[in-house]
Amino acid sequence: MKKLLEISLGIVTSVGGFLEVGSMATAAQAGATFGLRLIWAILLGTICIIFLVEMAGRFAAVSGHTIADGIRERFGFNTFLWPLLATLLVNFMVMSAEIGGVAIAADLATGIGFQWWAIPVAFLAWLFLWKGTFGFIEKGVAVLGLVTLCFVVAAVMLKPDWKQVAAGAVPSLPDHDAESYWFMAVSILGASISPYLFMFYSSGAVEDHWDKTYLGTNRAIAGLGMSFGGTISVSVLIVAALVLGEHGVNQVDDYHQLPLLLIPIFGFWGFVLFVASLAIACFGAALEIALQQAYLVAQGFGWTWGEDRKPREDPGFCSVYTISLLLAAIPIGLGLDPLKLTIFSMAVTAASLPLTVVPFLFLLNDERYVGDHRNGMISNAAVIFVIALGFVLAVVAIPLQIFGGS
Amino acid sequence: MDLLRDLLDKQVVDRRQVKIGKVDGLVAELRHGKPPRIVAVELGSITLARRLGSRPGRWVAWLAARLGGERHAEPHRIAWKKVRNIGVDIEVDVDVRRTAIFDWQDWLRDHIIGRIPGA
Amino acid sequence: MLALAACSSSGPVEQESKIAASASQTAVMVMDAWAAGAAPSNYASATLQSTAEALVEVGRQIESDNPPESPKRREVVTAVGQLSAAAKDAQAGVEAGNLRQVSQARQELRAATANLAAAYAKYFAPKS
Repeated sequence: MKKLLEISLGIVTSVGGFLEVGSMATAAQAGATFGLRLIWAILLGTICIIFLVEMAGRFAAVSGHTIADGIRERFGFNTFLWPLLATLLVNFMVMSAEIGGVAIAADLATGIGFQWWAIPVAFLAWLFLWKGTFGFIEKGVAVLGLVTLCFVVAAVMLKPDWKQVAAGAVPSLPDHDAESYWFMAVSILGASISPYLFMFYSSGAVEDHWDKTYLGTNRAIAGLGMSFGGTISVSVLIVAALVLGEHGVNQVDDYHQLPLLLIPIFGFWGFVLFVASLAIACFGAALEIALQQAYLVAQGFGWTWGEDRKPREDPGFCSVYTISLLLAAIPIGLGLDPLKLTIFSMAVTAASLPLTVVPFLFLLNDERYVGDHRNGMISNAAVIFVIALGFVLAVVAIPLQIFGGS
Repeated sequence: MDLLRDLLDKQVVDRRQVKIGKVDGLVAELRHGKPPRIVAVELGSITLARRLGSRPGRWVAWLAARLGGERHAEPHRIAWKKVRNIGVDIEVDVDVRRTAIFDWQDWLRDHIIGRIPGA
Repeated sequence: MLALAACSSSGPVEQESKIAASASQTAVMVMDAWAAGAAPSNYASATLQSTAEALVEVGRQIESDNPPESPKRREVVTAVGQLSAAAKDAQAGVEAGNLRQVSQARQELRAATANLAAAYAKYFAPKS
């Protein structure tokens, strides 16, 4: 019974963690411009993240190490510096985008420009981390995050042609705007396969004292949670295709367009639901990434870490999330367009994947860490696939950004 | 025992299980005709910087001495005989409060973090 | 990379006309939502303002991408100008709470969209 509760909580948490400004914005753009044709990118990204999250959880449960600990210990400090710096940078950009997402929601609700909200949002997030506990944050984000299910309801109410939805699940070549098509595919993959997701997950597993008895729970949470998250992203794409695309709105480059996803379906409540979904999903993600920055630095250098301690017991850890949030608020406060930043940072995330995922291949096959629970053929194939994908994306994403990006 | 692999970069905890850092470096004694023997583990930014190269090592040592005074001009060392247990973490028979390792955290607490309400 | 560069240079005006068409449809959706009471006034007016600005920007882009004497430039720019003017009218209507003014702006917008489509078809479509 307790396990069942844990599994459902874990699933709800991963739904909250999965859907954030990146997956919303990329799915909305893709649906508006290319109809249902890019569903495959979300599915592919979801399958990859399921494997990575499962491995991160298994590694933590069996070895008692987080992924960051593992990388440093196995490869040494000099090698660890690369994924450390890359992840800190990517997290900084994504966190800034999430703060931007909350700021947009506040802007839409009040009419006060988004840049004025950056500092208040960062401050509120900081206050949650300063006063809250891990369980409070995890559960609060999870339960409120359920509001994003409104996209699933909307997608079903639109009665899409399921045959076309299924056809979109199969990768296909674009019939127009090829550069933009591939750039969107890259951004969707970056939004789905976020390093902060699996790194945060392994920290959470250690923080919750997982051991080998949690391996089943871990598998269930990784599989079901990420699938639900992917379902919501697919729903956003379907809604964007059938609402924006059908109305002739094919270019989503202004965040003001986003509430129009739900207004034609739910009327005024659609506006409210959209604003609430955006605010909650992005706020939750901002909290998780800020914590992840602090985890990463503390784990990398061996300081005490844990969200449940009082700030005065853990000054180093608290300083990291405080500074991270403050820095991440700056670009938005200066008026950098959150939507553009989001799309760009998703592509950079995709390009950074090899640095964080290559270690999985070693850590999850090393008996000294995972004993008998080593990766099987399929898991290793999945890791190699993600690495290869990351390399291709790294080579492709940056030129696309220059030549074809939005 | 393959020392580099089994010790370096592991988590170090003190006798109260407080995480105090990683094994950033090892100090070995070279002996005639016998294999070298480990005499201490080193922790701290100076050791880490030395691993990156001699120049970063000198810079960080200079910076640490400027910020922390003479006490911080050298890396923190814990004698090998203090190591009690090597498992997931390396446990040392030391109380971190009696070392200089957390001086910077104490400074942060006293001057910044502790002054923010709610800490 | 060469192929990419080549195909993105194939049609800046094509891309700009698409952005303009999409922006005007956004304006139509917002007006309809506002008229149906489904969008708050401050949101609707902010969206229309930002749409109008985007359209002005598109017009400026087309002007800088084409020589001043070209007739296609003149017609497309005129149509885009009408679009942004209509969006601004709609914004004023929303701010005044004037339903009639908004529905009038909606008609202007429709007409300008048709002009844009006609100009676009005349000068760019046959190429492909």
